[in-house]
Order: sequence, then structure tokens, then C-alpha cells
Amino acid sequence: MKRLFLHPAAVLLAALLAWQIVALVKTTPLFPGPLDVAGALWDDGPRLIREIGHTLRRAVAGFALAALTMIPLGLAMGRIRALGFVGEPLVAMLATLPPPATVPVVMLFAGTGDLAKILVIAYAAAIPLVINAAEAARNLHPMLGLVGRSLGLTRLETLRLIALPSALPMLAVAARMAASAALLVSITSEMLLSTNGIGNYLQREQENFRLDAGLAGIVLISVVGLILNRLIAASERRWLGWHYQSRTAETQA
Amino acid sequence: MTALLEAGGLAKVFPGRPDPVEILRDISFAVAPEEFVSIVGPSGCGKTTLLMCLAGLLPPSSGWVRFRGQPVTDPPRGVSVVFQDYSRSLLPWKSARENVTLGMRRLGLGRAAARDRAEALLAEVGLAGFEGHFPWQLSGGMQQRVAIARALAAESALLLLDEPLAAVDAQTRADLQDLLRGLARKFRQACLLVTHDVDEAVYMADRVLVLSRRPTRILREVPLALGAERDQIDTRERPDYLAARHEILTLIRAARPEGAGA
Amino acid sequence: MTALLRPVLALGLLAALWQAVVWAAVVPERYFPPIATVVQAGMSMIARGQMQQALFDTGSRAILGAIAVNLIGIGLGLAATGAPSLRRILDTVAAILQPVPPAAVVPMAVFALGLGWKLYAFVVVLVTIWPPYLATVSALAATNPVLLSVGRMAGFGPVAMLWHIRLPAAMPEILAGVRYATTIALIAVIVSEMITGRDGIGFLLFQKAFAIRIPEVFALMFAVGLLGSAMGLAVSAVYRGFAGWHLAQRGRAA
Ligand SMILES: Nc1ncnc2c1ncn2[C@@H]1O[C@H](COP(=O)(O)OP(=O)(O)O)[C@@H](O)[C@H]1O
Ligand SMILES: [Mg+2]
Repeated sequence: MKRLFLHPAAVLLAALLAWQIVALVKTTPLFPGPLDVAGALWDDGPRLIREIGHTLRRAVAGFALAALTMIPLGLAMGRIRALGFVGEPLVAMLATLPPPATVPVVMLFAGTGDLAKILVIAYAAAIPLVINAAEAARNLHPMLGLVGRSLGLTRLETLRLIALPSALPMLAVAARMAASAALLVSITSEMLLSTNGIGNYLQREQENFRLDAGLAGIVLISVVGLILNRLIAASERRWLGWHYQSRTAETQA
Repeated sequence: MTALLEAGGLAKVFPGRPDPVEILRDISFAVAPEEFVSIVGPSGCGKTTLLMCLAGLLPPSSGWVRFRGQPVTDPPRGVSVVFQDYSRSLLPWKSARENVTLGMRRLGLGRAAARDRAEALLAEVGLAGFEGHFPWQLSGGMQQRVAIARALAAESALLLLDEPLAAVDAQTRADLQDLLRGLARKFRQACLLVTHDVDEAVYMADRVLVLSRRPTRILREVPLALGAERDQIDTRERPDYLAARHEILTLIRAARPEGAGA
Repeated sequence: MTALLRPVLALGLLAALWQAVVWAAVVPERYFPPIATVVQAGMSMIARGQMQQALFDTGSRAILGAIAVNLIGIGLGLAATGAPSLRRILDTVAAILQPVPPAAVVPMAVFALGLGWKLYAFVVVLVTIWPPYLATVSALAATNPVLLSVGRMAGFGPVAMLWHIRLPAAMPEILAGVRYATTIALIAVIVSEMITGRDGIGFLLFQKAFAIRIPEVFALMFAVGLLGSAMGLAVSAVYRGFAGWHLAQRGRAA
């Protein structure tokens, strides 16, 4: 009985119910209840889907741009001494600059279109990727490098066949951080540089006092974020299962 | 002579994924005060599990454990453990001295007294000058000695040792064997030593318990009378040492899956 | 020595790169001013008191917010560790709220809470509390079982076990969560300032950008970087205090 009562779903349901009751008592569009939000979700459904499509498209583009440039750069910084020596403090310095602070400057150079937003997203995703790639490559087990040399691999082959796979678990962690940063910054950039996308939708509807629609947008973002997290976790299990299995084996030994 | 530690009908079944896994089946034995008992058995047969049950860290599925006549449910005062995974059993955020002091918490000593005793014990295990080092600054053998010093610090009547010397080189190992025996005698402690090394089991003990493969029972108790003083060269050449070693090795070989007739 | 040398080197390198771009004149100077111009712009903003005011507004919001949110997050993590039903509820809430960017709630929060400190408190708490909470819960649940056995052999009860074993062992992971939360607290404050457009560095950045006062934009970005580094250094100091052993251990292992 107590179990059922404290189940998260039950608590959530109770919270929604309480919210609905307060909303019914207040009877003003400025305090929408869950039913109003559901109604807005239904009414604006097609538009919401279109807007989140823009958001996701740019998030993916920014993430891809960052991954394709920053993972190789980070690995190289971790393997090549001189590059790491100058590169790492430079990256550490850039990392203290929050992504939204770059928006005004990017706007001056690239306007308010797709390119500007993708650049800011890429910058946000780049930081965890490059830092973790360098760290992973630097902490590569020395034996692995020796194995590469004993097999007569070239530097590039060692990077591709040994450094990259053994850095994968750490890169996966970085990719997870970069992906959520990409989504967050994608929405934020739309609120700051408005043209389209879910962030722009949120901004407009809330400024027009359509709070039910604003909440509907937030619900949609939350759902998309949850799905994204699940997808990443599932692909990690699929591709990196060996890593987690060997880790649990280690803790059990 | 009354027993210090007694186990009767001890069994342990883990709730495994497809089926439950029966590890221990009907283990009964006793350890007298100041007695040194070795336990040998194939790896994975449940030696660590048995020791955890004896220490009150793991509830047995059935059977009982008594220490000084009292039933064991929680870790009792007067029992110390040296864990198999010694490098993980030391607190990495505490120095060697503080790790040893942790073993004395139940004695209720003052700060200064505890500190002095910890340093004396570390000196006893040959770690004078390393009191302020952190575990990860010490070699494997040194970490093991810190773990032993911590177990000794509790002034326990019974020491449970889980393969304490498995990971050290041969020379250090011989030194630590003599050290352990010497300290146990000095502090008048009973010891239960788990090992998979038959030579070590015989060299150290007054009695050896030989375990079967899973589900694990006691195959045989081998009493020894090698005398109080042991010597790494002379003891190992004694006819009764060699006979006991022969008996145990034969027993273990017969219990191997290929040779198992039963 | 090298600890000091490397940031200086990085700064020098950054300045050299910057100046090289300026001299190569790939970008019009109007859009990419020389360092001297940026410094001048920064100095004049300081002379007018504009820079200090903005730094103070943004800094106080972000720093106070980060401190409060980390303490609350760790506290919730401790409470949830003691009460599994609370943990299930908080985990659900965390999963729902974590994907929501701070910016998304700002317009509505302005409407409900005005433009004062309550707005920033709300936004920072909503988005920043989860990293320290999740780190605390997961780290406390993952104590190495051998250490727990050691604690039981030493006669520790639940409270002593938490204090002497589980919490110290969890510190590195908890402080990683704290570090992350501290960076997002600053981000949340700046974004909120950009959207509300009243004061703080976020507001000033956009104001100067729309006025095309590019040297001042760059000077402000540099100031934000300094604020971010200062907050990062503070977290590092806390880390050394509570989990210095972990750094030293890793340094040896690597
Ligand atoms: N908590 C547990 N749950 C399930 N199986 C376990 C658990 N602990 C140990 N085992 C299993 O019990 C067996 C005996 O383990 P252990 O006592 O460590 O053996 P030994 O110390 O003799 O090598 C092993 O096969 C191990 O996988
Ligand atoms: Mg074992």
C-alpha cells in the first residue's frame, strides 16, 4: 500500500492533480493547468513538430561538426607532446567562456541564420569532446602503444587501430555531454537569435501570454531530451558493452 | 579446552540468475584459542564466502557460527579480517598510520595512545618511516603489511586472513609468513588462514582443513605437529611436513574434475 | 613552475594568433580589432564603472547561486540515499527537468517572479541542482564493498559509515558534479540576462553587439572568461581540500 502510494508515477499524478485543481480555482489563462497544456500540445502539434525539427537539425549539424573536428584534434593533442603542451591550456582557457557569451560575436560575423546557430552549438559541443579525447589519448595504457609498435604499425595506424578504440569509453561519456549541450544550446540560440525552432516558439508564445503553449513546448523539449538520453544509453550498451562488462567483472573479483 | 570459534552445518546459497548457486554445503569445524588453522581449496570454491560468514559480514543460508560461545550475526568484537583485496581494503584518503588507527576504534584508546600504537605496529611489520605515506604511495607488499598491521591493531583473539600473501614475491612472502606467525604467537592470537598454496598452508599451521570443489564441504582435517618454532629451510625438509604436503596434494588432485571418480 | 608557465604561454599564444589575424587583414579591422583597441575599450568601460557593475551583477548571481545549489543538491542526494522512495521521485523529476534549458523557462519566470533575484534563484536552482544531486546519489551507492566490510569490522554504525567511509570515497565524483553545476550556473545567469535584457554581462554583451561596438564585446567576453576561470579555480581549491588524495593517486597512476 505504502509502496504504491510513494511510487514516482503516483506522486507525479498527485502533483498534476493538485496543479489542475489550483488552475481550476484560479480560472485565468495566466495560470494554465495540465489540461490546458495538453490542449495546447494537441492544437499546436504539427507546428511544434516542425519547430523541434529545426532545433534538432541544427543540434545534429553542430554536434557533427564538433565531433568530426574535435575528436581527431583532441586525440592528436593527447598523443603528440608539443601539440598538447600548447593546446591544452588554450582549450582550458576557452572552456571558461560560456557558450551563450559567444552568441553576440557570432551574430556579428554570421548573422542570425542557421550558420550562426550551428557555430555556437559546435562550440558548446566541442569543449567536452576535445578535453576528453585528449585525456583519453594521454592516459592510454603504455602497453597498448608497445603492442602497436611490436605489430609494426605506423603512427597513424596506431592512432586509428589502438588509440581510438581504447579511448571509446571516455569518448562516449564526452559524446553524451556534448549531445545534451548541443540540444540545450540549440534551443537557447533560437531564443536569442529568433527565426524559427522550438526556442523561438517558446519565446513568442510566452511573450504573447500564451503560457499553456509555452509549457507545451517545455514538455516537448523534456520528452525529446528523455528519448535522446535513452537512445544514447542504448547505443552505449550496444557498442561499449564489453567495457561495462569487464568493469563489473573487475568490481566483483 | 573450549573452542574460540565454532561453525556448525554452515551452508550458503546465492540467488543466481537462472538458478540459485550453492556455494557452501554443510561446513562444521572449530578453532581453539591461539590455534593456527589453514584452509586450502580450489579457487572459486567459496573460501572468501566462508570467511565472510565467519566474520559476521555475510549471513549464512543455514547453520550457525559462534564466537566465544555467542552466536555471530554482526562482526563481533575480538575478530579481525585481512581482506583478499588488500589494495582496495585500505582507505586511499588516509595515511598508513590512520588506516591502522581505524583498526583500534573499538579499543577506545585516546588519540595520542592510538597514534603511538599504530606507529609501533607499523614498525613491527617493517614499515617504520612510512607512517605518513598514503596507500597508493606504497608497493603491493607494503600495502599488504599495512592491512596486516590494521588487523593486528584490534588486539583480536582471532585473525581471519584471506589469501594475504597471494600477491607478493617469493622472498617477501617467506618473510611475511614468519612475521605473521611470530606476531600471532606474540599477541596470543588464533589465526584462520585461507590460501591456495599447499606449502604455505602446511608450513604455517597446527591443522589444515582441505575443502572440496563446489558445493563445498570439508574433505579432510590434517593435524600437524611441526612444533612452535618454524624455519623456512629446516621445517620444509621434515618428513612429517612432506607427508602432510603429499597427503593434501593427493587429495586435491583426486578432487579435480578429470580425476574425480565419484 | 610549469603550472604557471602554461597558462601564460597559452595567453601569449592566443594574443599572437589574434594579432596575426589582425595583421593578415583577412577580416576587416572594424570587425576584428587589434588587442590594444580591445584593451582600451575594456579600460574605458572600467573608467565608466560599467564593467565592474556588470561583473558584480553577474558574478554575485552566479556565485551565490552555485554555492546554494551545490549545497542543496548534495543535501538532497544525502536525503535520497537515506530514503529510497524519495530517491525514486527525485530521479524522475531530474530526468524530466534535465533536458529543459534555462532559457526556456525565463520568459514565464519573469512573468511570475519579476526581474529581481528571485528570477535568477529560480532559474539557477531549476537547471543546476541535478548534477550535484545525481553525482551524490550515484557515488554514495557505489562504495567499494570491501571498504564497507572494513567499516563494519571497525564497528561503524550507519552514520559513522557515511562520515568515515562512504562520503570520503564519494567525494571525487560529487565534486565532479559540483564542477559541472558551477559552470552551468554561470551559463544560466548569462542566458537569463540576455533574455530579460536589464542588467549584467549577458545584457551588456547584446547591447554592445547591437550597437556594433565590437572592441567592447570582445572585452566583455574576456571578462566573462575571467569570471568563469575564477569560479573554476574556487572549485579546484575545494576539490584539493576534500579529494586531494584522489588527484595525487591519479597523478601517480597515470
Ligand atoms: N554475492 C554473490 N552472489 C553470487 N555469487 C557469488 C557472490 N559472491 C561470490 N559468489 C560466487 O561464489 C563463488 C565462490 O566465491 P569465493 O568465495 O570468492 O571463492 P574463493 O575465495 O574460494 O576463490 C564464486 O564462483 C563466486 O562467483
Ligand atoms: Mg577468495
